Formats: sequence, structure tokens, C-alpha cells
Amino acid sequence: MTGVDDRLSIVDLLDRLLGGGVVICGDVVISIAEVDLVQVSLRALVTSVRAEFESQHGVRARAALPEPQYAVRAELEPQSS
Amino acid sequence: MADTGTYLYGVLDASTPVSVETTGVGDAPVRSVAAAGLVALVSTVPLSDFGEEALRSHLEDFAWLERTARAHHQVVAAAGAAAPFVPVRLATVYRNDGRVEALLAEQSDTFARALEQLRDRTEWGVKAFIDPHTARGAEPADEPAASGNSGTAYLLRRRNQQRDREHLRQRAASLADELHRHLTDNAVMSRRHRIQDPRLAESEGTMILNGAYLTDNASSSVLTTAVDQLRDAYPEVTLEITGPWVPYSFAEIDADAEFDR
Repeated sequence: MTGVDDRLSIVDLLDRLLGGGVVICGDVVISIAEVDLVQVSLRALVTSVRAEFESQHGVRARAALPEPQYAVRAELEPQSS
Repeated sequence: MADTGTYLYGVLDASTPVSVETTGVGDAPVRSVAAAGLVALVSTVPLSDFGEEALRSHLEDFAWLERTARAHHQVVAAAGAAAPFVPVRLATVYRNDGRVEALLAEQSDTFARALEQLRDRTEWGVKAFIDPHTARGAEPADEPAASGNSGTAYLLRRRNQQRDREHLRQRAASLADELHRHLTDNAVMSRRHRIQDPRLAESEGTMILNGAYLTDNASSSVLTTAVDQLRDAYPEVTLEITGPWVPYSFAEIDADAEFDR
């Protein structure tokens, strides 16, 4: 179970804040196309996480594992086969 | 020309007034806008940060996104702890309070229905992971022709690898369906979110299910019992529960929302 909200996984949060909640049209129209927006933001995070991992472990971060049917397709970078 | 907008967190019924002490997005205080028997929780925000152009670039800045998401969530969690609350999606901004009042008036029925749906209910997240290496199990042995260094052997090995990957994918998918079905049977409603990007994984293993389950507050333990049953039945699966959540995943009131029940 999660404890203090500060420790909530940002990914779990974004699943809900971007993918959940009533979708109504505000006056400021941002089409939060989940894939576009989150992928772009996530790229920044992935880059920093990977860099940190590599510097700590001196190895390349592991490649994505075989994706289940519902995996988000990461369109930003070419898929490794 | 106004230089501020009204940022909306969500809506509650006027009969259950809530005051939220925590600061909201952009360090702005949280206040209320009332209309049609409903109350919207809002913050005044500068358009230099929350106008269209600014939002577009901010939302690509992960640090800003995280700060804003957490602040937004703090408000929703505080409100939802005190009364039934219908959260709205991140970054919903109106020109002014009057526009929010108009929203409440125009959509009062749909908000009222959504509030009823979420009243005295809680969301729980359940994520399931498998270890792809142990999950392979007994694979058919490669044909002898796949060993060796010839071009044919190479192609056979590639084909076998692709077949193995495909089998693993199919098994993971049907396992995920099985897990979700059992959890759904023990919840009021359920919904599957997209599998989270493996590059952001905070746990070991391959995620195969990212589910959200709505339970009646009086019987939340039914779901945790169901998770324990799955742990016993599927020792190769790691199950993580998150929650309690204000029911973000069940607040959609558009007709196309897909829920399982």
C-alpha cells in the first residue's frame, strides 16, 4: 500500500491524472493526447533515469523486455527487435 | 485582457462543503466556485504558466509536470477524503470563475450522476508482473537444424526466438485477462490502464496488467482478499496494490468510457 503521498509513483499518478478524471473541455484547449504528451514528458525522465542508472552501475540500462499486448508503443525511438 | 485563468481540480456536492488547506498547482491557494448545487474546487493561475502556449511547453518539462501533478493530486486527495469528489483531468483551465459556474450549471446532471457513482467508493490499483525468464517454462527444444553456424540455422534460430516471444506474449496476455477477470468479479467496477513503459519500471519484471478497481468502502477487503487468492494461485506473478485512490479512473462521464462489469 502507498503511504505518504509524496512517495506515490509519478507513473501511477499520471496514469490517473492524464488517463482518468472527467474529460471536459476547458477554455484553454490542450489536446492531451495521452500518448503524445506523456511520451514526450517521459522521454525527458527516461533520459535522466537511464543516465543515473548507467553512472551508478557502470552498465547500459536494460533494454525493454518483450512487450505484452497492451504495451504503450514508444514511437519516439526505433524499436529494438 | 485577463492575465489569469481558473484551474479546475474537480467537483463536489454543495451539501458536503469541503475546505482544502493544502496549496494547489503553482503554489496557488484552493478556493470554491458554486453553482447549481455543486461546488468546484479551483485555483487562480497565471496564464503565463497555464495559458495554452505555456502549458504546451510546461507539459513537456518532466519536472514541472511532476510538481504540478503532485500538487493537483494533493488537492484531489484532500477533497476526496472529506466528501464524494469527481476529479477532472490535469490541466483543465477556464478563462474565469464565471465559465466554471456555467460548466456546473450546464453539466449539473452529469456531475450529479458521477458523484452518485463514486459516493462511498474507493479506487485501488493492482499491477501484475512476471519474470520473463522464468515464465518461459518448458519450451519445445530447438530442432537440431537450428544449431550450427549455417545461414539456415541462423534463420531457424531467429524464427524460434520470434515464436518464443510470441508465445510469451500470448501467455502473458491471457494470464493478465485471467487476473483482471478475478479482480473485476470482486469489485464494483474495473478498468485497465495501459501497461506502463518498461523504461520507467520501479519494480523488477515485465508488467502484464495495470488495473484499477472500484470498491465500496464497506467492503474494500473483498478486493485485497482477491489479490491474496491470486498470489496463491499464481506464484509466478508478482502483484502490487496501490491505494486508496480517489476514483480518478472511474470519473469519466463521456459515453465512450469503457468499463468492465
